[in-house]
Amino acid sequence: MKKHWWKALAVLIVIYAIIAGLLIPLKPGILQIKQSGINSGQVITTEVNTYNTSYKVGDKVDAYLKINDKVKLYSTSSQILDKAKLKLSFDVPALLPQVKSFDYTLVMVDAKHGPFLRPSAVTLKQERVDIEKALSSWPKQNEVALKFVDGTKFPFRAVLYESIRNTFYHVPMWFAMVFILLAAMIYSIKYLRKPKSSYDIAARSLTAIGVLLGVLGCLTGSVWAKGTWGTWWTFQEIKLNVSAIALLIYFAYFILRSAIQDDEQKARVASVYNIFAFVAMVPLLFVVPRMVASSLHPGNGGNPGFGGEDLDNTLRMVFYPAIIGWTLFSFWLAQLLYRYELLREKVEEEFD
Amino acid sequence: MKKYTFILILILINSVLSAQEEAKISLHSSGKIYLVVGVLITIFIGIVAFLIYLERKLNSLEEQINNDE
Amino acid sequence: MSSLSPIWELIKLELKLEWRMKYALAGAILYVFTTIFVLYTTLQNEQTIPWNALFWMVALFITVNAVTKSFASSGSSDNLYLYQLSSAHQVIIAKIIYNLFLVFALLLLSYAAFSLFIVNPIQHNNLFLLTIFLGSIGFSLVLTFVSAISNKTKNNAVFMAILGFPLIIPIILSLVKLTEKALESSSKEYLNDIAILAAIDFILFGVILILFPFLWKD
Repeated sequence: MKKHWWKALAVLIVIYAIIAGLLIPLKPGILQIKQSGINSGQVITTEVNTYNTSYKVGDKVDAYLKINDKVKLYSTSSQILDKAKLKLSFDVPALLPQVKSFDYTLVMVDAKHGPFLRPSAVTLKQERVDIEKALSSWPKQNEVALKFVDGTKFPFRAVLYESIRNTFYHVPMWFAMVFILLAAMIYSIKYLRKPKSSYDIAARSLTAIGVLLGVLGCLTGSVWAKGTWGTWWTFQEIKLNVSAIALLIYFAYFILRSAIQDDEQKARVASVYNIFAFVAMVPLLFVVPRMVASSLHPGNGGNPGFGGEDLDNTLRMVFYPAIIGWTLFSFWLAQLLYRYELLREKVEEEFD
Repeated sequence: MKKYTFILILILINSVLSAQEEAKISLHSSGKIYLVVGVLITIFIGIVAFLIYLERKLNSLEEQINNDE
Repeated sequence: MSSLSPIWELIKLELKLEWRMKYALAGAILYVFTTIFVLYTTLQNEQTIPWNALFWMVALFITVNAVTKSFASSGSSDNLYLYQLSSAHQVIIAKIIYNLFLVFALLLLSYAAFSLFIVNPIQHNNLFLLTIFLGSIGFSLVLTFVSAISNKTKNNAVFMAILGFPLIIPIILSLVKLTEKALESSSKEYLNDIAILAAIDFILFGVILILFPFLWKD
């Protein structure tokens, strides 16, 4: 039982990733906005549909439009229609210190939910542009302090919404695949240093599980993409192409094995190919996507990487354990396959 | 026996998929949580596929051992 | 009618043989899939001018054919004697250098043919020549090594494509990226891309030097 502790750990961490990943709520956010008009110099009312809010009639909700870095336009009144619906009215001055037509960020703040916003939410147009005059005649307003609310919550992102939780189930497939294939490469090196058939069997089993993880990564990514980007697969997206090619490299590994008759030569050539494949896959997965200008995935095309904006601390709390958990779990699967193959070899030796 | 297990698994997958369909209808407008359900089911099906693959290989190994004895 | 039935029987036999060698069938399917996928990926990534991707795809197919025979012809007994005298490292380095010149010459030739028959939109000729040279190094490294591996199988040509195409994709994508910069009149930052390409070439060379002796053993 002693040497199985890591399997228990794997199961515990994966359960944690599933439970915490599904139960921690999302921060409130703005789903939809219906605007009554767009021209400046009039009162504009907007009907705002919010997400994960629990407004009650009579709650005091403040909201403002971010006109530019210095100037804000506060709502003159707010009327709560529903726990997730409210009406805001803005008394828009005729002159705005901005360009002719602009999409302004809407920020909402109240004591219960803390501040949340939606960029490019409200469109306003003005007849003429006069920034100097607009600033000097800007109406005096009471500043509302932004009070943050404590509590562990995942960030609310437009388009993604709840599916941000897939970070804990789709992304770790790829991480686990890389770790598993790395282990396969290590066993291939071991085989070349000392040609024991058990090393080759380990490399083969690990590669098989690596391919399974890659296929699962593709399929789960496909499901996620269908719901967010609106398509199962797109060739415009470099990461998709690159991961499919990585899979092709490892499919070829198994075809190569089946094409060589002699067992000893098969194991040796397969080990050599496995090592080379991993070395070639590293720039394919980690360098090439960064060279390409744009990507729908986070962390490519000159973005700061998978961190910063894309991954906040609450996500990290589940994301990193999820990677460890799924990786350990995959090693368990690989070990089962390895033990089976070892047993079969023994049986075949005995009966032949 | 093998046949029944297979049918059982099919029924299981089917019921899970239809549950997903229901989830899709009620949650589609709000939070896209069905995507998370879909991803988790995909992973689960992947693991089940591995189990079926391993079981079939084990079956043939057992047969081989029994025949040779 | 009776003269046709042996043909039918022969076709059935072929089918049976094909089915028995399942790996050959899987190999053929993967061959089709890999080729189309590689073509599609390279052509799709290119938004500005298809010339770029087209050039590198043509280059890939030409060089694969040229390098395939690297290990196929063992030649006469004199050649075998020479092989026995030299170490595995000497053999692979000699083959890589020979293939490098071969590939470089072929790429220059296709560049000339492209500019003669299609068009030559290259603005930075020197940068493009450097790109071609770095590309030749990468192609010759990967394809020479893959031809050493696929020579161990019976289906040499198919395995050149199945093993070689996916492995060469990172190099082709970097080459396409670099060519894009050679196509633009305003010279942008390209040292970074050159460094990446050179680094990939260098790492592949190191790995091949380590791995080749294990293939050369028998």
